[in-house]
Amino acid sequence: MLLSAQAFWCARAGNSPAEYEDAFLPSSDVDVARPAEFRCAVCDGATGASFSKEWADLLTRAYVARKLDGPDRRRALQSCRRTWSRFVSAKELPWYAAAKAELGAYATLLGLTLRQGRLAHWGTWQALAVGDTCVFHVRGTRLRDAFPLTHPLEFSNSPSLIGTPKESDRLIASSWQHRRGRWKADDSFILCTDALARRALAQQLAGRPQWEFLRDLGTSDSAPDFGAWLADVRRSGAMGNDDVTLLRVNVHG
Amino acid sequence: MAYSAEISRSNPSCVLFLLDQSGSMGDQWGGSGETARTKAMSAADTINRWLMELVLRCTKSEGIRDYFNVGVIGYGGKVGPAFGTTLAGRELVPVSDIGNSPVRVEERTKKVEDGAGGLVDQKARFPVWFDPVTDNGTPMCHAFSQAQRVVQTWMSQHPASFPPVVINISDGEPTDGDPTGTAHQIQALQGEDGSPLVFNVHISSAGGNPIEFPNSEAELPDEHARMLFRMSSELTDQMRTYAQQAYGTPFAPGARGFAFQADAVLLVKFLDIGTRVPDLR
Repeated sequence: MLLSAQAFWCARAGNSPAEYEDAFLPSSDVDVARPAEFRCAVCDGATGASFSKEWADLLTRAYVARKLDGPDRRRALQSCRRTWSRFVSAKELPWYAAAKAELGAYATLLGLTLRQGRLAHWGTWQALAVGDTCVFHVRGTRLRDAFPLTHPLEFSNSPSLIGTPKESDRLIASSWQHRRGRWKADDSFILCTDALARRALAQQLAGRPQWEFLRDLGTSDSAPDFGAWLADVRRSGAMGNDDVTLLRVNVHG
Repeated sequence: MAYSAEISRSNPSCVLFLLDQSGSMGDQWGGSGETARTKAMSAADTINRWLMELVLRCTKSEGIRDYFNVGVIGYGGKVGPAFGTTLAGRELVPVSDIGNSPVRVEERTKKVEDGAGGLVDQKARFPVWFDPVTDNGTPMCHAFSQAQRVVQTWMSQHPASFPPVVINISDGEPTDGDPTGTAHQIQALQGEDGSPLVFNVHISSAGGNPIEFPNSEAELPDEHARMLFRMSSELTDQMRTYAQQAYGTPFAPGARGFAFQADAVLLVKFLDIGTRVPDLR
């Protein structure tokens, strides 16, 4: 399996890059690797909470370390929670920051694993999701699969979220979703947080799919600049003002 | 479309309380014996709780984001800004300054679920900005005149912001005339995202059942309540939706931001709905 991966991200308009609360792995571009298995993840830290970025980081790392899609998920989540709590409690916080942290941090999760098949030019993929961060499986210029959401109207202001309070597990017990499929050489996987995912599905529905555009972002000097494109889309009102992350995996064979 | 401006640090909104601190606010209102409460105690507790929740809403990992400017004008023996400590004398205060300047932070005990069907005591910090004050008459007209000036000035500095919300908490018997005209003048101010909203909370000595967000004055028991109803703005569509979600019952178009005899729990809910805004960025 020969692949490359590249991430594009942008904080919501008006916020500084330090205030960006999504997380993704791999955190730096993978430029043509040959793994037997490739794992990546994108998490969207909840805006209403504090220390969501740190929680989203922990979840992406746990997924990529194979801890969240096996039988030990509960134990892995507890371990992430302890790490998050240690991080927060090590800080000297004023009353409001301590009270806010007591309410917990929350994030979505989208994890994707690609595995090599018996032949070099095909293999299998497996995705795990909680919430509205999505993966799109693209072949050529066409969408083969969208997961976990498939229609722009499925997005809401209250997606399922993995939380630092243990009690929140009960609320999302049925929200862990799985999907499997097969990839072929030259397929692309586009993982993205909700604002961009919703926009991509709306464009698909309107008969103006943008998969080719998203697949080719940043791949050559002639490809459009992500930041400039995003600013234009936001200005047009076609996308809500939110942190945006796009992690693209191109499988070359 | 009015009342849809995104609230951000560069485009904050404004909430201004008018807090009745007259002598009659010292009348008992709810509870009995050791748990007896006065109207002033209930009003102060409600504002303290609302301020705490606002500060928490605006708190992020790095600190408090200034999405709001908040003011409290007290009216009783005197009329003017009611914040204490380092905030004394300031008419509108960014929420970060409020979070960093409570008069004190009390430790209170609250009941929480123990996960096994029972309740356990848990200690919680409760910041206090206001203590109950009861003094003299009810110069509500004077308070609304100050509010008009404060709101007008703020709107000239923030013409594109979500419009200010003015919330008057009173037992409803002004001693300096009829403030209705001034309230309507505030409601007539124009910003790019609409006009200021004036809401009223009536803590009446007359008794009676709570009435919230009515769309007519027909059910209201006395002239003071009807006056405050007529001074109250209609809820925005978005606020009406929030109210519907919070109460599980629809509110008719024309429902006004007015509460009669709301107890402490209902008051907090009322303030939450009256100050809920589309989104914080």
